[in-house]
Amino acid sequence: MMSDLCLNLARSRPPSRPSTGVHGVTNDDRANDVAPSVLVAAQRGDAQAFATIVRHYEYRLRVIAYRILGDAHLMEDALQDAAIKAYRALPAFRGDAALGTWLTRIVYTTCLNYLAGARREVLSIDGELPEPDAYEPDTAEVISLRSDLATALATLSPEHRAVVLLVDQEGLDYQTAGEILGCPAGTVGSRLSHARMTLRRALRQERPVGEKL
Amino acid sequence: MNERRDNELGDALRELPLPELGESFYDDLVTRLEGRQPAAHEAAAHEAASRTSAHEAAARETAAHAAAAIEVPAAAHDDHAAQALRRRSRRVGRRLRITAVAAGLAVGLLVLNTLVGAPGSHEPGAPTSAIALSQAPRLPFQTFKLPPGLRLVDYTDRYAVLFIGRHEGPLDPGQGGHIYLFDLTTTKYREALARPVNIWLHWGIDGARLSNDWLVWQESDAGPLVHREAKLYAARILPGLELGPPRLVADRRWPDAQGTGSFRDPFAYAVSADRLVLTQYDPRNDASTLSVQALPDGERTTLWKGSGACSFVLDGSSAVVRSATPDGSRFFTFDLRTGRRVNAFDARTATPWWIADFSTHAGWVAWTEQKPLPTAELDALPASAYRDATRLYLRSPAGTVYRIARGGEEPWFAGDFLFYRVARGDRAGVDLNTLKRFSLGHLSGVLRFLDSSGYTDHVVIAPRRDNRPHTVIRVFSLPTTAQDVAVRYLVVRAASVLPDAAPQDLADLLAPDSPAARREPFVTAGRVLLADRRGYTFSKADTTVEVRSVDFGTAPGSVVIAALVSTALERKLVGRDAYDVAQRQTLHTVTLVAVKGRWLVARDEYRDPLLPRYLQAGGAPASEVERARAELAAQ
Repeated sequence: MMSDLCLNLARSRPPSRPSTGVHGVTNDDRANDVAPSVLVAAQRGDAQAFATIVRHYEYRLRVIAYRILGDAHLMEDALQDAAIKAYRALPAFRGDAALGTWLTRIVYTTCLNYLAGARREVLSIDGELPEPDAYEPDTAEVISLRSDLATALATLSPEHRAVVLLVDQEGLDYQTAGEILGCPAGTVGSRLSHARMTLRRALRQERPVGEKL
Repeated sequence: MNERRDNELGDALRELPLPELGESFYDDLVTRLEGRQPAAHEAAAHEAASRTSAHEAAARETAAHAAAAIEVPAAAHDDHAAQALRRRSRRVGRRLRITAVAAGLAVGLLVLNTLVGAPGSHEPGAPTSAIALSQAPRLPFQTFKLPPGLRLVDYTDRYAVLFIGRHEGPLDPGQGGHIYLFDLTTTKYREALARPVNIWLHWGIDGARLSNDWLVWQESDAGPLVHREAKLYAARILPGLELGPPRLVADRRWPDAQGTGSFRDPFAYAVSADRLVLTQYDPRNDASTLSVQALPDGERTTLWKGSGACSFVLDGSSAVVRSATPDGSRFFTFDLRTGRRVNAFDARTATPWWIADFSTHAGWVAWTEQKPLPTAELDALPASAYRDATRLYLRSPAGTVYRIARGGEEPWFAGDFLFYRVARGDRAGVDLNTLKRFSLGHLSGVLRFLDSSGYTDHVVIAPRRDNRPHTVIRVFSLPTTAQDVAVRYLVVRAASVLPDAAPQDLADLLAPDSPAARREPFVTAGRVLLADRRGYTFSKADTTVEVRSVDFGTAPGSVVIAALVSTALERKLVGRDAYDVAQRQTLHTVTLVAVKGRWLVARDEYRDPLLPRYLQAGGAPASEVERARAELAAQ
């Protein structure tokens, strides 16, 4: 039975745009959790079951990783690292937080660590020979870069970016967002207020007065 | 009003383009996780155990480290370097006799703060030696574009195998997969297998491994998640990247697709020359069998049977299998030709640590120890905590254990180097010749090395994650290749005075416009001319090259090799049968640089009192002659 469940979940692609809750209203992340049997299997070391869990939350994890890191390759690296980290910590997961919340926090902190690491000197072995292949950026990346909203979003700090993504895009309540970000709900509120104001201000410069966002 | 606006903001954010994960993301993830699967089970057990014995374990570890106070004798490290160089020398010379000599310089770079581990075992928290960090090498590489959607799954120093699995990629219209071979020597590729053998049953290809002689691939009746029946086929790799007729080499049927074992790969397999090594896990009995099969005649020998899952790594004609034990892992080395076990050792870990992955080469063993991340649901951990929970160890053939890196994992050996992964995709390595540690950096965030590939001597191949619009792989040349080039150069250089020597042979090994290219052809010409003036010719050159050290140069992308060249030159008097033999020994310091993915000689420093005369006689520019005189005077 569990195998069937794993199989079905694993074969289904994550929803491209998940349904979200309403801001300020409690949106319990547990409602979106995977079946307990899948979690148990993953905790026992079933890699496929764990991959099923990652797939289940993939969209949100991608949102956080890509919007914070701004690079598709780094996003993949960070998600791989975070997934390995989570897999290793999974036997100790006791369900004090929702699984999705827990996983998202690991991705979030991994991304912040990536950003911190990027500031240090990187010794690259790529420097000696000219890059022979000219790669065109992914179409999605191009559009994203050209987007006013994406540009405005990029002006926010990672912490402010994350809060607006979690609350406004993902529809999480302040409490859950706070668990992911590692800060109290009140801080979530203040960060959110600042982030929204910055975004609106940036976008207003590009739009006629009075037009909706 | 604000809430409505924020809803609209959320809608707008959701409209932003978001890159999908690469096609191989989950395959990569599962592969990496399954490498740790036994560990995950152990982790759960360790977690429970650690709640009661954490203090005890910590106390044991502290006591063990406190006891570590004796220094490693310098000679021990000399031995290690000598062994590594001897291995290298054996590979280099067929007609050369190269006696590797240990360079003692490495010893001074080591931070020796502990004692030698007992051969045959590594105890938990046992004493280890640390290794100093050195500069990053610049490995030359070549980039190759292949058809889109391919996945690199294995490579040797000569071939790489890539495949498109069923229902993957734009090239596969539901045909069950294709296998491509890529010849690193000719840089040609070819679709070697256009469809599964069992295409008529709608089977698909799940993966492939290869040696320089054989390709082995797995076909099964279902997707990668559940296997009901799977078969391994083998075919010889023929000239022109053709395949010989496929032959069935292993067959496995799962009685129940709903069983826990159905999620596992039916086989773990790899190929060494004409030997197929495979493990089969029996989920009902929680037991594994490791066997070796001679591909030409199909004869199979069981090497090992044991409880639980096992994993193995090939290293030339031997296989090292790791079996989890209650307090760590036991490593067995088997000779694939004889099927005999040649050695074993235990790596014991203190609770709650476990051994997650390993690699081996020529008696060296590297492994990763990890411990469960504590209560991550309360506070997801920073990178430092993750690093604290991972340790990479290296055990020398003599039994000395080095703690390589906090946070290092996924080790693999290539060309006398140990490579491993550190945090956030960075790669690092250890030079086994000098036991120096170095950083490879982050590789621009788009490259990843192929995990769990077998030992390679000259190359490391890294696929790029972004496989649109091509599959792109990079072939990195290791300094072992530079050493081969240096030795060839020294031999060609010594023989360049012979009448039948082709000047181009020497020129092909010299970096264009380099100091060596500006000087050495004149040296050869001058030597021949001076000999001619004295009435003799060179008739035979017998050269031995004794490599003294291999190191990365101070200039980016350079390697410096010191070698003692012993030359016996037979000289014949023109028009007479009389001859004599002139013997010389010269210490050369050869600097090589990477040019378009190849190592070439840029500088050759040696002391020869006749050098200015050779240059002058050979017609070198006056400035070159004066430089040689000045250098000689300075020496």
